[in-house]
Amino acid sequence: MDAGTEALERLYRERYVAFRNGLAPVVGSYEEARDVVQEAFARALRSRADFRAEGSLQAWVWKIALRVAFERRRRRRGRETASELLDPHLIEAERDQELADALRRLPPRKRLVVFLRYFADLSYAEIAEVAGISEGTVAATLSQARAALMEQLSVEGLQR
Amino acid sequence: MIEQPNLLAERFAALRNELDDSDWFDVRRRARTVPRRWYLIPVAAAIAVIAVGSALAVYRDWVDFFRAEPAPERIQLDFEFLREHTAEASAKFGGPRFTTEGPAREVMRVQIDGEARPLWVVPTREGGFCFRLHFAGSCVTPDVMEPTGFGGGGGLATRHGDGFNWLLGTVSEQSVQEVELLYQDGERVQLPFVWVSPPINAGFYAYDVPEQHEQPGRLTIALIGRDEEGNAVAHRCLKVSPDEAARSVPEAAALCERHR
Repeated sequence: MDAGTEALERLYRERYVAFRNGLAPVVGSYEEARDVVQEAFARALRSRADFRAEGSLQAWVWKIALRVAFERRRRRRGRETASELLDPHLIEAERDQELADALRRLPPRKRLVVFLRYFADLSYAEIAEVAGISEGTVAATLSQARAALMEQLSVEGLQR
Repeated sequence: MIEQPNLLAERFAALRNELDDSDWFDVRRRARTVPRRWYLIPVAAAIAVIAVGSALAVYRDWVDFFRAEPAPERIQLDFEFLREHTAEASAKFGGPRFTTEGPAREVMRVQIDGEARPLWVVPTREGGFCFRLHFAGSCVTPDVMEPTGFGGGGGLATRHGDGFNWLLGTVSEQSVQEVELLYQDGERVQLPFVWVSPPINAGFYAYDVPEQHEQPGRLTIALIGRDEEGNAVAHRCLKVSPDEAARSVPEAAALCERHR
């Protein structure tokens, strides 16, 4: 097995759940998110020679995964606006409707950063690479997003 | 504004699904799966055949053996045991020996007893191969491939002893694109089927027969291998049941009569 395949397999085994959970709000279900992760890693395997070692492998696969997820949503729903594209069909949203509503009110870019941080467990550097922004911008965006979310969530809700 | 980032993180964490339903083999399969008819088609004819192919929409999974996932050490050891056991049994009848070459590899996964179980295959120096899935396995050489287009295979008999509740086997006829299982009651089902490249150069099918088809009157009767156009080009009679069972499905009866 070549080194690229080994590295991808390791990443897959260690981070599969985070990938699936992070993608579920984008595509609308865990089942479809699972399929997106499988397809994204398959594409990554096929084009592993294109990966440049100076970047994060995880961030590279995330970019592929988001591309696959967006392709699916476009195919399913036709043309979508940027804000619709990241509309959080928060999985098990009934468990936290208040959080789902608060997320929906965030601008798309902030919403993506929040997903990548809280559902996919990516580091600031990895989010920066996936979203094509600087680490400083990630920190600032997250800070603003957190503030916006917490403003909308009640104290009782936060402690729930 | 309330500064409680940890509580916010906890609230997100509560929505996470920790179920791990990962399947690396599926990723590998997706990355390498190529419809076989495209693999065989000369480049000059590709455009015309792809246009026709989309209408036929029949293809099987195809696996490049050397790119398939190598089996873990414990499976390699199991194959040693299987090889020795098969060779010993075969030697009693002056049959072939089996010398496995290289690692066994995973060529497909099949739902058996509620779990996706891998089918492992390893080539032998004598030109055949050994295969194993769950607790079943065998070693075969090309000369034991039957003229019906199906090769070695078997399964577990039902409690009544006149049907199968579990099937595993090989296909030698290269034009087979799908394997269909016929039941006594006329129902048909397409089985998981994969063609593995040389040095194996054979097809494999495996199936966990549903419980309702372990009852008399609904038992397994025959396997039919079909080519791209749906023609029956291979068959295997599971005729543990008597003649009248086979006759209840005319197609199976006709095929099985020929090789009685």
